[in-house]
Parts: sequence; structure tokens; C-alpha cells
Amino acid sequence: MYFKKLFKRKEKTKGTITTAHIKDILDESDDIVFSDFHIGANDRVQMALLYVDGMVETKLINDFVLKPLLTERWFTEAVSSKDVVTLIEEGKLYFASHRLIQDIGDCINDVIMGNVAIIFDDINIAITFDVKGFDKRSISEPSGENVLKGAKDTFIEVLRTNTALVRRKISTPKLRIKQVVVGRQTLTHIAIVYIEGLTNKNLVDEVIKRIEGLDIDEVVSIGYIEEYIVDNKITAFPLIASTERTDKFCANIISGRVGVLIDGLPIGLIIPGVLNQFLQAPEDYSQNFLVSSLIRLMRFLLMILTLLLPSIYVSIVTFHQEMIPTDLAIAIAGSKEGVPFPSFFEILIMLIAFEILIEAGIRLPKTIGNAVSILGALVVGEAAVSAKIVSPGVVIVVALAGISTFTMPNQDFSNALRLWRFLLTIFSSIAGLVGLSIGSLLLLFHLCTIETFGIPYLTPFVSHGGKSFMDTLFRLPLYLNKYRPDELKVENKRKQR
Amino acid sequence: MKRQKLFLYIILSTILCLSGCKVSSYFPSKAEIENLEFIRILGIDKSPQNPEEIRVTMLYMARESQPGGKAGGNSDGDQKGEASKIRTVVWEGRTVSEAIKGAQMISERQIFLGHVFAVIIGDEAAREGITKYIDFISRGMELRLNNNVYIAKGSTAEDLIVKSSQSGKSLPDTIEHFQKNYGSTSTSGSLKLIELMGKLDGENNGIFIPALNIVAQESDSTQGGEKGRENIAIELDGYGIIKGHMLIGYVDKQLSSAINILNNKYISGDIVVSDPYGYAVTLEVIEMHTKKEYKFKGDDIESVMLNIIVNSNVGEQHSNKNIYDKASLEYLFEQQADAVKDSVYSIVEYAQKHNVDVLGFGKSLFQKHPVKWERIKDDWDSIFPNLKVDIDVKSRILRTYDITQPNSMEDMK
Repeated sequence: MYFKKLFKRKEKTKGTITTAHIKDILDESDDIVFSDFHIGANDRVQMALLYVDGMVETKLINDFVLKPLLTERWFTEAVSSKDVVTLIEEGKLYFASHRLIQDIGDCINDVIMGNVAIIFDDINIAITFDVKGFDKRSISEPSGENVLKGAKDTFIEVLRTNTALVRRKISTPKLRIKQVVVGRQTLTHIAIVYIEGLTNKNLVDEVIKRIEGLDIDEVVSIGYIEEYIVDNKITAFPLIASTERTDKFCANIISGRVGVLIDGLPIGLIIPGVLNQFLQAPEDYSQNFLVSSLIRLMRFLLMILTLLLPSIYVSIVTFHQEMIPTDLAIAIAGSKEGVPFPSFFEILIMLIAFEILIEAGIRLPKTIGNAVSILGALVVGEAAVSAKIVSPGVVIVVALAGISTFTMPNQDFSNALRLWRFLLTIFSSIAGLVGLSIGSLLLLFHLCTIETFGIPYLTPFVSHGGKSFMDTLFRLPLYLNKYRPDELKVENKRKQR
Repeated sequence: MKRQKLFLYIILSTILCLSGCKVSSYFPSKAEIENLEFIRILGIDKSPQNPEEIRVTMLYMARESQPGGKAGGNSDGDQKGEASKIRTVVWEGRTVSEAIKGAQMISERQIFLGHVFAVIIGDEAAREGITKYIDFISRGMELRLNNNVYIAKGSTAEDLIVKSSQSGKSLPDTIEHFQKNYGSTSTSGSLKLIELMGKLDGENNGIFIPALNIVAQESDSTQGGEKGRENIAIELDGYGIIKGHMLIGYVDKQLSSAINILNNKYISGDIVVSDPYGYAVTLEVIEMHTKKEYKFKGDDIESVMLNIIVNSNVGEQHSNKNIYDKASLEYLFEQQADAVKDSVYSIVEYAQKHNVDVLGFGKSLFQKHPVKWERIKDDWDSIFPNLKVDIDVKSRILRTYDITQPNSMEDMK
């Protein structure tokens, strides 16, 4: 039952439950509706109806709360508020979920969440009914994580719908959805999803502990949770995976990870997130394993390409020209004739231009976004080369690196790669391949030092080898992959016979 | 964490300290690619005017945007097509290094030797001794050790480079084609700088360096007319034989093939023999392998047995007779074996006469009998010229390609 969920955090409001008290607290708001009613024999029982306009289904109130109270024989014969409360408790008012409240704070929280409250001033008791009825977006197709063969449903902004979507996919009675409330002002409900007897208990406890420990004003985007609960805060790499896809979310829960759903956000968080996860796409498991393995290997290579290509170009064109095949070297040198900038600066200009195009594409409406892309490609690609601001080789290098970025299944991860691409290019411009080696080493060192909820970020490449490698560079046939990831220390390691 | 950081510092300092750069600068030197002149061929000669000096000729390809015109001592920038892209720079100095740096003074870009494809040593310079000329190219940081080394047969490297550029063909491309087509004739192979260095450092190794020759086509040049660039071609013409680091002479294409046979570098080629009726038959070699067996008496080497296997296909037949009966085939086997034997005997005779072990005997002795080689290696110069060499050739013909009998065969009619 929804009302039986434990609210860990609530607005601390003192006082007995009376209409006057509640009016004192809420009366400034115009969307709060108070209505006084008299029911029972000779209208002896006085009660007040309280709800937030727009968040409730008024038909439910009229038909299933008010109508029975005013017309049913049991209630019309009642002589006191106490009688009415007893009748409701006995189930004479046939409404699936109601809650008897004696604390004014609970009462106000329930009303704010979209319940209707009947307040009996004389006995200082309120009964709330779940009549939520606010508008919500319907379940739609994924916008950022499209797959050809796979489920099309995604999370929406309503927590309860999202938990229901998960429950539909993971029907085991051992699925646990624990809710906590975070945010002093937003009072956002956050659901922690895991499977009892499978997920590592320590991991679950740690996630709940960290989320419960948050004392912040608002939770209006996933960053408010993610940034506060991760171990290593100074890193561009995502330490928690996020997805809008329910199938991906559920697959991770079944693997032994902990999921987090936030009310108001159509995204599920998966804890912990390691590098290997960010290179896996849901479609890997719906295609032939040979094809998937090839694509996944290509994805790893493209990760290296997008990270290193501009810096390798700067290195070999500026420091190690002997590495380039002669004909290509002559062609590059010829195309750079007349370009006034050094290669590093050219690459920098193009990388920045590329970032500008991406930003512009995201912010603008779709119709104008296309125009910007065409304009950007024409201006940056064609005009800049013709005007001898950059050489064609640089355009090709940056375009290749840019397109490779888009093959990364996770946007946060590709953003981190974009950032490091800049850094490595700077290292290369200082000392060529020596600089690139130093930069790459620093990146590797950084990745090695990161831990997410006690798990090394480069797992299973640096630890927990063996069986976990089956689902890394290659995706081996599913019938061979009999165990859940070692690093998660799940309580039930074997996932199939 | 502290250990990790310490480990990181150690790796970083190792990268910096062992980068191979000079102490004053840990980082490699920086130069924008468009400011470099990519030298493709490096020619080294003795200076014709001053015997103490070295003359260096450098060939490079002009870029699209580069205007025609002289870029140094010799060039033909006004010519069309490929020739218009070819430039040469010539400079002299006491050392190769000094000459190259001197040429820098007249070059519009920084001379860059990282793309040198071949080093050509002039005939006269090679006869004087090649070691002093190749020291710079072996030592230089920019030059690669997989450069090809050639000798300009009977001319200077400068002459060869300049005349080749006049022919309108790119000399680097020509040399590259020679290397790619080696398998079709197996006459003159290629020699990498690193191989040459190894041979110069080795003991009793005869060295053979591919020789490039300028050939003038007879049509125009003999008539005293104007020399057009189509009249000049560069040919790969046998090997230059080096003894004691000095060029002692050249061997022709047939002897070069025999050197390749004995060093197991022969890939394929044609052997033209006569059939029992006196008509020519071309046998295309598909396998040629030599095994050297040494006979010893105590520690003294008595003789070398060269077991050569040659297998071929019939590539062409001029007669219209059936030459595929047992007797005819055996005749052809014998002819083929004799042709191989003749070549091998000729090169053995040449090598023993000049006491230069280009046959690979010393090397294979060292590999097969290292202990015995240690005992005889100091006397190898006196042993080699008198060494008894026996040859046994196992000759076979395997296939006849698309047809067996010739067209219009007599017996069929």
C-alpha cells in the first residue's frame, strides 16, 4: 500500500489537526481548496474537505468520497465524527486506499502529494484518500537511446508509473522498491529498486544511506543525486549509469545493481556504473552475438579513436612527420600551404567549432537545428578550408573524431571523452607523442584511481577478470554467460543453468 | 594512494629522461609540416673539383602550390607533368652532414630527411670506400634504417638523379617499382641500410649492392639530336660487389641471379632452353632452393656441396612438336639444370677469383657449424678462393599452364 511506505523525511509542522491550523499554514495558496460539509443525522457531524486543485481527480472525490458520505445509510445515521471515522475504518466507505492521520504534518504532506483529506475538527483526526489525478505524459518511445529490436517504452515523469513499469518487467515477489523523500523544498520521492536475495545487501544499504543522508533544497535533475552520492567527485567520467529505457534499467537490476528512480524525472539511475557499462548498448543483446561482438569491439576502437585522433594528428604533423606515409605527408603539407595557424591551433579551432555546433543543435528547436547543422557544416567545413583558416586534413580528423563520439551509447561518457580529447591535444601540442604518452598515462592513472561504490571503475579490466570478460570487448553467446558480474558481489552469482 | 602517485612520478620521469632527446630539451623538436622539404633521394659523390669534399644531391617533389624554377644547383622546373614537380638541390661540404646543412641555406624550406627512400652512392665514391659516406645516414636521427642503398653504376649519383628527373619519371617511384617487380626476374634485389650496416660489421661477408644504371635509348641520342627526356631511362643492372668496404666491380644480371640463387633470394624468373628439336622453350621458375652442405676433414673444410632444387612451368614453346614425352622432358630437365649450373659456376668462379664471399658460404658455415667456423674464420680469406665447390641440381618441370600441346601440333595433323 502506498500510504504504508515509509516517509523518511517530512515537513516538520506542529499542532493538532484542525481546519484553522491547516488554513494558517496553507491559506496563502490559491490552489488549496477547503470545503465544509455537514453529514450524519441532522447534520450533526461537521467535516472539512481539503485538497490541492489540479492534483486530484474531482470525480473520484465526488463519486467515491462525498456521495457515499452524504447518501449511504450508515453515514446519514451517524451521530458523531467518531462514528464516521469508525465506519470508514471498518470499510463502509469502499475506497481502496485511505489513511487515518493524527499528525498535522502528515496530513499536509499527503494533501500536497495529491490526496484529499477529510478533517474532523472536533476529534482532531484527518482521513486521506488517494485520488491523484494530475496530468501526466504518456509512455513514449525513447528519444536518446533508440534501438531497432527492443522495447520501446521509457520512463516518464511520474514515479509510480515508473515503478509499475519496472514491476511489470521484473515480476518476482523479491523485487523491492524502497522510497525515501529528499529535498527540503521539493520533497521529492526517490525509489530505490533492487532484488532481495540477489543484490549485494551492503550495496543497497550504502545507496539508501547516501541518499537518505542528503540534506539539500531540491531534486530537480539527476545531477542533484548523482553528484552528491558518488565517491569521486572530481572526474568527468560518469560513475552512475543513467537510462530512459526500462529494459536496460531492469536488466541491470537483474544483474545485481541497484536502481534509483526519481519522481519528476523520466530517467532511471543504475548504481554502480563502470566504464565497461558505458560501452554496452541494449541492442547488443538483441542481435546475433557475432555481430554484437564486432560492433562492440568497434565501439572500443572508436572510443580510442575519438580520444586520440586529434592529438595523434597534432603529434605527427608537428613533431613526427617521418611517421606519415610520404605521399600523405606531401599532400598534407600541400594542403596546409597558406594556412597561417599552427596545426594545434587549427585543431583547437575546429574542436571548439564542433562543440559550438553540438550545443547549438541541442538548444535549438528541431526545425532550426537542422539548418544550423547545414550552415555549420558549410561554414566550418567548406568556407573555412577555402578561406585557408584550416586545412582539409584537420576537418577530416575532427569530423572523424566527432562522428566517433556519437557512437558511444552513453552521452555522459562521450562528454567525458570530449573533455579529455581537448586535454590530450594540448599535451600533444607541447611534446608530441611523448606528451600524448604522458597525457594518456595520466588518463589511465585517473581511471585507475576512480572507484564507484567500492568497485574499481575499470572493472573487469583491472580486477575481477575471468568470467566477467565474457561481456566486455566481445559479447559471447548468452548461454555461456552463466554468472552475474563478479565485481557486484551478488548473493546469487549464477543466473542460469 | 601514495604508492600509486610515486609510481606515476617514476613513469613520467622515465618517459622524459629516456625520450632519446638531448639533455637540454626533453621534448622533441617542433616544426610545422608545411615548412618541411621532404627529401626523397639522397645522392652522395666525391666532389669533382675538390677531392676532399663530398657532393650531396637531394631530390624532392615540389608541392602543388610551389612555383616552378630552380631550387638549387640543378633543376628542371619548367618541364611539364611529373618532371615539373621534381626538384634537386646540390651542395658540397667536407662531410655529408656539412653538405646537407649547407644546402639548407639555399632551400626555401627546412630540409627533412625522414622521408628519404633511397641513398645512391656514386661509382667513384663507392670505389674509394663506402663507410665514410654511410656513417651520417646510419647515425642521423631523421633518416630511417630501412632506406634502400644503391650504387650508381659507372656514373655519379648526381648524374643519375638529374638525368632521371629529366626523363620525366619520378626516381623514387621507379625504384619502388623495381622492388615490387623483383619477383618476376630475381636479378637485382634491394638492400636496406640496416642490412648493409650488419654486413659491414660482420666478418667475411661479401657485400653486393644493387646497381642503378643510366640507359639512353638509341633512337634519338645516337643521331645527335636534342636529348628528350623520353630517351633516358634508369635501369636496375646487377650488383656492385664490395670488398673491404670498397667497390671492386659489377656483376651482370645473370650473375646477380646466381647470387640470389645461392643466397636463397631467388623468387621466380625465366630460364630459356632449347628443346630436343632446337627450338626455344621458356621455363618459368616457380621454386628455387639451395642447400649448402660442408664436408670437413677434422677441422679443415674440404668442399661445399650445393644442392639446388629448381621447379618450373612451361611458359612458352616455339616448336609445334610434342615435347612432353618422357625422353623430351628428361632432355628439358637436363637443359634447365645445366643452365642453373652454368650460372652458379660462373658466380662461384667470379667470387673465388676476387676472393669475395658473396655466395653466403661464411654466413651459413657460421650458422651450421659455429664451432668449426670459429677455428677457420681467421683463415677464411685463404680458404675460400681454393674451396672445392660441387653442384647438384634437381630439375623438374611441373605444369604447362592453360594448354599442354602447342597449337597446330604436327602429330595431331
